[in-house]
Amino acid sequence: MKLKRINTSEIIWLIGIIIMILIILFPIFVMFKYSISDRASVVTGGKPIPLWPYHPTIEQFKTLVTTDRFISAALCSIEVALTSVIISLIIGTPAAYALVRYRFPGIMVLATLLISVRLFPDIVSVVPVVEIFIKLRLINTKIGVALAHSLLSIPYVIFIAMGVFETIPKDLDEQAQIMGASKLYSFVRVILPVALPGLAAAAIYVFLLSWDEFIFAYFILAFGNLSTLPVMLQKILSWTPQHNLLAAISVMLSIPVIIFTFIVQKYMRAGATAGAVK
Amino acid sequence: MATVKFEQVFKRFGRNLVIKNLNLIIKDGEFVTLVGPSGCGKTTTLRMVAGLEDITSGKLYIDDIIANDVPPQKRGLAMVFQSYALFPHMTVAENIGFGLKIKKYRKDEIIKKIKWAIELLNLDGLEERLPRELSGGQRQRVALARALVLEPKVLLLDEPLSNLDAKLRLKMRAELKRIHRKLRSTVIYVTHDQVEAMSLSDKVAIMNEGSIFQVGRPTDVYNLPENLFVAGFIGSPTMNFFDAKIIKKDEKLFIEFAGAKLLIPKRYQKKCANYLNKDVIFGIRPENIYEKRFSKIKSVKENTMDVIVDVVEPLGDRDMVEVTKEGIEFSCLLEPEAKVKPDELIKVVFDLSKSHIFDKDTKKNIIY
Repeated sequence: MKLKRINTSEIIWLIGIIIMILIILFPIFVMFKYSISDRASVVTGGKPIPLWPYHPTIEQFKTLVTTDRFISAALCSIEVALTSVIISLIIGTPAAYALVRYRFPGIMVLATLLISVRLFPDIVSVVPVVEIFIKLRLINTKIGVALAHSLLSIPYVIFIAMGVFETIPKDLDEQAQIMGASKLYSFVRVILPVALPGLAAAAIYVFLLSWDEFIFAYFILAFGNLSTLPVMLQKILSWTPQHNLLAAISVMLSIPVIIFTFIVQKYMRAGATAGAVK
Repeated sequence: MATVKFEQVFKRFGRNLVIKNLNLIIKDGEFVTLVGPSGCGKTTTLRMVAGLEDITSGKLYIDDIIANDVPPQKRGLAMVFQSYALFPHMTVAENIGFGLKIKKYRKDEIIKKIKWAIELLNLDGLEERLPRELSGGQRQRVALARALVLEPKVLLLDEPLSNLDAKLRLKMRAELKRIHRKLRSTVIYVTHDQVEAMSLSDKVAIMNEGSIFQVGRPTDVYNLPENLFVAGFIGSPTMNFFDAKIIKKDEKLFIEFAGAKLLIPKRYQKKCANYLNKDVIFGIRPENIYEKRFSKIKSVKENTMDVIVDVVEPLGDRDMVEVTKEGIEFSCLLEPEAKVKPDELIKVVFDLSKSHIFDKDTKKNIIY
């Protein structure tokens, strides 16, 4: 077998890519390293911090999963994220379907308005939202955070779902209707099941957005007893905790993001409508 | 089973008038094909019957009831889309049973009907498959089964065979014909393929630019096209057209083209009288031009001309021969036994009893 000759420019490219990957992965490595470090590998008393901990340990994780405060924050985060998923899908999916299937004048204006809330920095839009939430007594509640997160994610849900519905041929709707199905029936029984993989991607997106959202959650929960994980992290930071514990929390916070990102990728590739139309 | 009637139907998309004064009656149990080039309005017409497109003006009757405002769900029709539109997340059986479930049939009845449809379309053993696990031909049959199982008043077929390969298309064409003969349902079939239209239908409606140019039995539109468009559209290979002139000689009318004068048959003489010395278009199908030695009619001076062979394409049973005469090219289907060769001078005989003469302005067939 003849080996393919690698030329100089390819080698330079390869080195460049490897360097970039290392730069991107370095903070993640540091976070992971700290999370499994024993105390001596963090507080070294002037000696350089080792590249790999002297005695790797999962002590921090053990501490976390037995700490009530962490558990309640994690549960709060999950609850808020799931509620956000439900709210934003229930509102966003039918909206996207309508925007795709019923073309009417001014549709692009409407679509732009929908995403306009994301045109402002979060720190700007958080003020009016919190103002309203105070009036509605939604401050310091999980549903308040979930609503705020839904507000942030609905535009994304609509845009992702619009993309999904656009790939589903109109023939399917029309076929169902000719066979006697009402518009609602054909939406629920035909279009939604076909759209499911794509909508799952949207759901995961919302979950992740909510999971690591900080600004809205902080303004809504800062002065109460409830905390989502990012908010808890902030609260702990205020009393200078151990680096390794902090890193462990970060790892726990990142794990769902990493897992779900892989799942989304898989769904994105699944041929949702294969076999529907030739 | 039902009748469908269009009465002065117009359809407008924005500023475009896509259907212009459509009048058509489809009788109970008839297999009617709407055929025409793409963009002629045939699919729009079908979609109006289905209720998927509004009718701008005019009336559409289904079973003598004005159906303009009846929603598609209530029309009791079934349609097979060009794309088949199978529900990808449902098995074959679920696809077929979908409409029955909505119509609230009893469970055992649904099972019975699905079984009937599966058998009718030879889908045995595929009940639990998903559409993506089927071949093109099988998907097509599932789409058809799903439509037929509803016992629709009218079955609408929108180019159902166009996604199949040539061999399968022929097979499904025969299948469709068999099913129609068995079930005798009213069928409206849309295609751009005139061969399909001819071979399947009881009646063909040839459409162009939003209007019906002729309606009739396949053999009638073939033998007696009403106008130039139909003459050119129906028939394969296509009809030859010549710029010609009608002239008089010895009290008889002749058609003059490509430097030849051919005698117009007796029964057309009177109809052509008004066009004396006028420019017309003369049309004749390639199969109605014979090589002299193999001519089906007697060769005389008034129906024979000398031509030079240009290209010979053997088709097996016939040779498709392109010939020229005074720089004018046309084609004829000749017997392979004539063994004509390129650049050879041959005599061809025109069967003028099967020819057509069209008005140059109105494009109407003068002898129709």
